[in-house]
Amino acid sequence: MKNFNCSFLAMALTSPATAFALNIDGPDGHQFDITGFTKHEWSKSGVGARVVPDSLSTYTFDNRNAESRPGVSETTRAARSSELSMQQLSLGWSKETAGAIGMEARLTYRWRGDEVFRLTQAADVDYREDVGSFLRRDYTEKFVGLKRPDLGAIKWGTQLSRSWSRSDAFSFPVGLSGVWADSGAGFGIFPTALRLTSPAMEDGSGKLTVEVTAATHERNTRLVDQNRTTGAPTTAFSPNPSKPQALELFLQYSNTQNLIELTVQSARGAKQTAFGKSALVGWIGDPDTLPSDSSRPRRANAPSQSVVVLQGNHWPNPQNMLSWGVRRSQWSGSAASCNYSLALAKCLFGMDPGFNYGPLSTAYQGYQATAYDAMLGWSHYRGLYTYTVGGVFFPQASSKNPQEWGQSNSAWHLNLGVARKVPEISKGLTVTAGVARSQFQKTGPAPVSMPNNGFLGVNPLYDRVGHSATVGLTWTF
Amino acid sequence: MRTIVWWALPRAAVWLALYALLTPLAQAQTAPVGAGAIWLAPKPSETVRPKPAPFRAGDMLKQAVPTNTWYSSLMYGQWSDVLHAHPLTFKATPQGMEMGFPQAQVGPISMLKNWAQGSTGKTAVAYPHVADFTVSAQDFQPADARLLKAGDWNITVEMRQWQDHLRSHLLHGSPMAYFEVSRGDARIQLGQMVQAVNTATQTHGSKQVHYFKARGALYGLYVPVGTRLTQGAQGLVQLAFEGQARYFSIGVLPQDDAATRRAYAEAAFAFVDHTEVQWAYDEAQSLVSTRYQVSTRAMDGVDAPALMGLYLHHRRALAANATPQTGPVIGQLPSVRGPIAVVSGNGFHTELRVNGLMPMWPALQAKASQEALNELLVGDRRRANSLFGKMGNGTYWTGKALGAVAQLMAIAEQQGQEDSALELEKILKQRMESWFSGRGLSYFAHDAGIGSVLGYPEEYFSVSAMNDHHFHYGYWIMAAAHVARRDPQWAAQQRWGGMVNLLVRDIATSQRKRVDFPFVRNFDVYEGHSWARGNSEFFGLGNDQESSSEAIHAWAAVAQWGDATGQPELKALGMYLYATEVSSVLHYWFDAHGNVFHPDYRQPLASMVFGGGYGFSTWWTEEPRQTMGINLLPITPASVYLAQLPGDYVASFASRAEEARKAYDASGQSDETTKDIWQDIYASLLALKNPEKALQIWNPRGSVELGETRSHSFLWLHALSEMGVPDASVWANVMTHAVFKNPKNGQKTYLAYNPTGQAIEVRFSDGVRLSVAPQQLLRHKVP
Repeated sequence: MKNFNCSFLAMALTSPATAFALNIDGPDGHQFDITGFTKHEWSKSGVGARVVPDSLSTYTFDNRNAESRPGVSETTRAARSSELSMQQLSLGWSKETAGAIGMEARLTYRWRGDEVFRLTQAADVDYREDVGSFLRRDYTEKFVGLKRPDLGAIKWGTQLSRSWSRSDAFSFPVGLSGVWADSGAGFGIFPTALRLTSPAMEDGSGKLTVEVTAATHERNTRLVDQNRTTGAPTTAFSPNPSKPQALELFLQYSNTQNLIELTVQSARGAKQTAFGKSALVGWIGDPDTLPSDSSRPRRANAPSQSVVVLQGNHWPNPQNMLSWGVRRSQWSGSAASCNYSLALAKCLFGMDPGFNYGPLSTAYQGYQATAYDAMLGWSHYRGLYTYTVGGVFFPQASSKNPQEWGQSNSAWHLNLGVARKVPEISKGLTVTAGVARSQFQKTGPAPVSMPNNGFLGVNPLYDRVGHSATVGLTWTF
Repeated sequence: MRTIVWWALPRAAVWLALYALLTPLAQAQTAPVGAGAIWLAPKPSETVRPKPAPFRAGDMLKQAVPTNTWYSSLMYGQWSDVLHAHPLTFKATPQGMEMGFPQAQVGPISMLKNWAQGSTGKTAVAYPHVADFTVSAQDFQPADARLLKAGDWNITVEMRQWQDHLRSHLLHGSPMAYFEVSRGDARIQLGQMVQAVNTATQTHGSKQVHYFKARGALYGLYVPVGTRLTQGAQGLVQLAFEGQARYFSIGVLPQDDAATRRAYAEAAFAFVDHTEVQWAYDEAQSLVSTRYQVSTRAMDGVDAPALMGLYLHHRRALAANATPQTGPVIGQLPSVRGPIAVVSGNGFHTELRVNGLMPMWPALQAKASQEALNELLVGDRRRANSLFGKMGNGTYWTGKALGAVAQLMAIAEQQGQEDSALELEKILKQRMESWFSGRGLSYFAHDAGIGSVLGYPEEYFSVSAMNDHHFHYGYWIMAAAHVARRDPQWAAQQRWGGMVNLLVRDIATSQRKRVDFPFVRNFDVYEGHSWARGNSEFFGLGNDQESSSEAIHAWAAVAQWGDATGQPELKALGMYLYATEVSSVLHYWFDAHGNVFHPDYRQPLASMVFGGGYGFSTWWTEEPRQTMGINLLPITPASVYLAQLPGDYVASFASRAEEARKAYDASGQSDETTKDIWQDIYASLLALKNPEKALQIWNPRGSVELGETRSHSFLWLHALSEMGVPDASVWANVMTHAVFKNPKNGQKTYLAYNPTGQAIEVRFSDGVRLSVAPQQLLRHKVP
C-alpha cells in the first residue's frame, strides 16, 4: 500500500457521535459495547435575542409571530450568555454466526440541558411519555436488526432518520450541525421504523448503498393529548389525531475522494415542522368541515411535508475536506386543527395552527411552501488541530400565502471554528471554539426552513444581524 | 403530446448521429486481447495520466520508460533528484553532476516524512546526499540531464549542449563513477569538507591519481597521464586534458592502504559499459541461480577488471566453485543497505535455494476442524461480494478482494465444498472479466508514451506517478492463477489469459529494450528487491518500497501463473524474482542477519525502505500494528519465507506490536483503527514458528484484515498446527512442494501439487518420493 488513503469514505451508517467504544466480548460470540459522548458549550452573543412575551403572541406556540409583531418596546432581550449540555449513552449488543448472519440491538438515550455539566436534565427528543416503563422513554435509538452481507440488513424500532443524522454528520465537522441538520422539512427521529438496507453495490467508479425506511408512530401521544387540552378543553376535534407516516429513501455513494448521499423523506399526517431534528409524531388531524359552519369546504388535506437532501464530502487530500449540501424542503401547509366551536382567536391561542397557515380571510387555508437551502464548508486538518469555515444559506421560499411566514426573508449563517484534540488528557476529548455571524435579508419572520425566529440566536423580527462566540468541549467514549 | 414529439425528434436524430459517429471511434480505441480488450490509450475522459518522462536521449527514447528504478527521477525532470546508487549518491544539477558518499543520520521519522505526527525517538535512518564533488564541463553549460543508456544496473547520464556533452557512467553498488567530456576541459567543484590529501601527483600506469578526504572518507581521482590539475579558489579544480583522452573517474576507497590504492587505480579506467543479469530456475534442484555480468570499456586500452560492490544479499548467496569469480574483497564501504564489499571482477554468480511454492494448502484432517472451517466458509462465501469496494474500486482494493476470494476458493475446493468453490470461481471470473473486457467503467489501458498497462480508476497514484503496479497486479495474477488451475480454458491466451499476461509483462517483462514495457519494471536486479514509486522522487531520499510482502506475493503470483498455464519462462522469472526479493527483504526490511540496521535504530523492522534511508512508519499511519503488519500481508502459501526469520524475533513480534500500540494510544495519536487491527496477520506469522501459541492469540471474532478471511486464517493456523512448521532442510524437484516438521514429535508432512495433466513423481531431497495424480494436492505424513 502506498501513500495516503482517503478511502474511509464508506462511512458507517450510524450515529456520528460515537468514536471510542468500550467493547466487551461476551461468551459464545456475544459482543457488547457502550458508547457515548458528553458535550458542553458556552456561548456569548453580541446582543441577546429579542423575546416576545407569550401574552403578546397571537397564540401560545407562535414561534414565528407571523400573525403578531409586538413593538420593540414590548419585547425584552434574552441573556447574552447561554449554555448547553448534551449527553448520550448507547448500549449495543451484537452477535454474528459463522454463517455471517449478524444480529444486533441498540438502545441510545440523549439528554439535553441548558447549563453546562448538567447531565440529565431532559430528553433531547420528545415524542412519547417520558415516564413509566424503562422501555417507553424517549430513546433516540431502540432497535433490533438482522443482516447478512449478501442480502443486506433489516432493522426494526426507533431509529434516527437519515435526513437528520447524515446532515448532522456532514455539518458537524464545520460547526454547522445545529444550523444545517436542525432545519428543513425532515423529521429527525422515527419512533417506529422498519429499515431495509441493500448490500453495497459497486461499479468501476464507486460503491452504492440503497436504503428504504418506513416509519410511523402511535396515533395518540402525550404531545397531542396535552395540546388538545391546553387551549380549551373540548371534545370537538375532528377527525381523530392523525397517524403519522413517513417514507425515507437513502442512497449513499462513495469513492476514494467523495462521499455523496441523497436522502428523500416524505411524511404525511405528522405535526408539521421545520425543526429537522424533531420526532415523527402525529397531530390532531385536519377537519373535513368546520363544525361551527359546515358550509365551508375543506381547505387542506392531512398535513404532509418532504425533504430532499443531496450532500457530500470531497477530499482533495487527507489534510482538507470540503463539505457541501443542498436541500429542498416542502410543506403542504395545513388548515387549522382546532375546536372551531370556539372563537378562532381562542382556538389559535390554544393550538399550533398548522404550518404556513393563511390569514382569516382565506378561510384558514394551508398554503404550500417550498424552500431550497445550501451548506458549504471546508475543514483543514493539521495535526491535533482542525480549522473550519462554513456557512448555510437560507434563500427566500416559494409560497402563495398572502400572510408573511418568512417566505420572503432569507438569511445566511457563517461560522469560523477551530478544534483541538486533547489527547494529553483523554483520547476522546476535543475542545472547540468558534465565532459566527448570522444575517437576515430583512426584519420579519425567519425563513420558513428555520424552526423558529430564535433559531440563529437573533430574532429577525427586530434585528437583522447577530454575532456569537462559542467555546465547548466534547468527550466521546 | 404532439408538441413533445416534434420537440424530441430532432434531438433524437442528433443523438443517434453522434452515437453512430462516435461508436466506431470508441471501438477503434481498443485492441482485442483474447476475449478481452485493452484500451490503446486511457479513455479521452480520463483526467489522470502518467506523468511524462521526456528527459531521455538516444535509444532510451525508443524504449518504454524504465519507471520505478533507483534512477527514474532523471527522466522526469530537467535535473534529477538524488540518485542513491550505493554507496555513492549522485545528483544532476545545473552546476554539474554531484557525487557524494553519504553518512548515516538517525532520528525521528519526520526525517523521512516531515508531516509525520508524534515524531519522536530514533525511528528513522537517512543517508542524505552531500555534494563532495560536482563534475562539469569547462566549455559549455548543458541544458539538462538525460538518461542516455541503461544496463541492468548501470546508467549513463548525458548533460548536453548542442554537440557537446558530459557523460556520467554510474553503477549501482559501485564505489566508482566514470566521466567523459566531449570537448574541452572538465571542472570539479570540491565540497566544503573536501580537502586534497596529497598534492603531489601519483602515477599508476596510464593514470594520474589524486586523493581527497571528505568527512573521513578517502576519494581517489583518476585522470589520464598528462592531464593538468589546477586547484583554484574556493575549491574549483580544473582538469586540462592532454589530447583526446577526456575522461576520468572518481572512487571512494574503503581504507587507505597501498593494496587498496593499487586495486582502485588498476580498475579506474575500466569504465563499466554494460551490466546484465541472467537467471535460471533449476526446478529439479529447487535452485535459483543468478549471474551478474559487467562489461567494461578500457579507456586507456589496458584491460582490467572493474570494481564492483557486493551487497549483503549477494555475498550470502555467492555460489561456491562457480564462475565467473570475483577477486578477493578489497574492503567494505558502509551504506544504507549495510556494508558493501568492494571486489574487482566482471561478474559473479549467486544461488538461492527455494523450498517450494505451493498454490494452496490441503484440507484439514481433524474432523472438528473441518466442520468448523466449513461453517466459516459459509459465512465468508456470503461475504465474498462485499469484500469488493470496501476501501476503493481501483486495481489495489479490487486486487485485494480478488486475492481473498481466490484463497477462499482454494480452501473450499480442498475442503470438498465444490458448490462454494464454483460460486467463488464465478465471482472471480466475473470481476476480472468486467475489467478485462474493456467495456466497463473499470478497465485497463496501455499507455504507449510511458510503456505501461494502467488500471482505471487509479489508486494510490498508480497512474499519475506509476506507483505500486506490482503490489496491485500481483493480487490479480495470483487470483487468475487460481482460476487457471480449475479452468485452464478460461486462462488460455485466446480467452482471458492474454490480459493476465499483459499484467505480468507490465510489472516484469524479461525482455530488454522493448517499446511496450520496460525490463522488470519494479525490480531492482542488483539491490535485489522492488521499488514502488514510479518517478523515484521523494525529497532526496530516492525511491522507496513499503510493503515488501506484497512485492514478494506478486513474484509468487507470476510463478504460479506460469506454472498453472504452462509458461515455463514465466515460472522461472517468478521464482527468480521471488527468491531474490525474499533474500533482500530478510536483509533490508527485517535485518534478519543483524548486519544492516544502524545500531541506534532499535525498531523491529524497517517498514519503509528508501534508496537513501529506512524507517518505522507507513504512508498512511504511524499506528505501529499496521506499520509492522504491512510487511507481512497478504498471508498465502508464499508467505512461508517468513519462517526464515529468527524464532525469538517472530515470538516477540506480536507483543512488540502490542506494546507499541499501547504507547501510540497513550500518546494521544489515533487513526481510529481497532486495537486488535490485523490480529489475524500477527497470529499467522506466529504460526510459522509456534502454531499452538498462534491459535491461542488468534481471536476468531476479532478484526479481519481487509484482504483476509476468517476461513483462511482458520485454515492457516490449524494446518500448521497439524503439519508443523516449514522445514527448510528439504526440497523437491517440483516447484509446487512444501515440507513441514512438527516441532513436538519431529513428524514430517510433505505436500506436493501436480499442475500437469499427467501423473508425476515428486522426489524430495531426503529421499521421500510421492506419486501425484494430475491436479492432485497430495499430503503425505512420515513419522
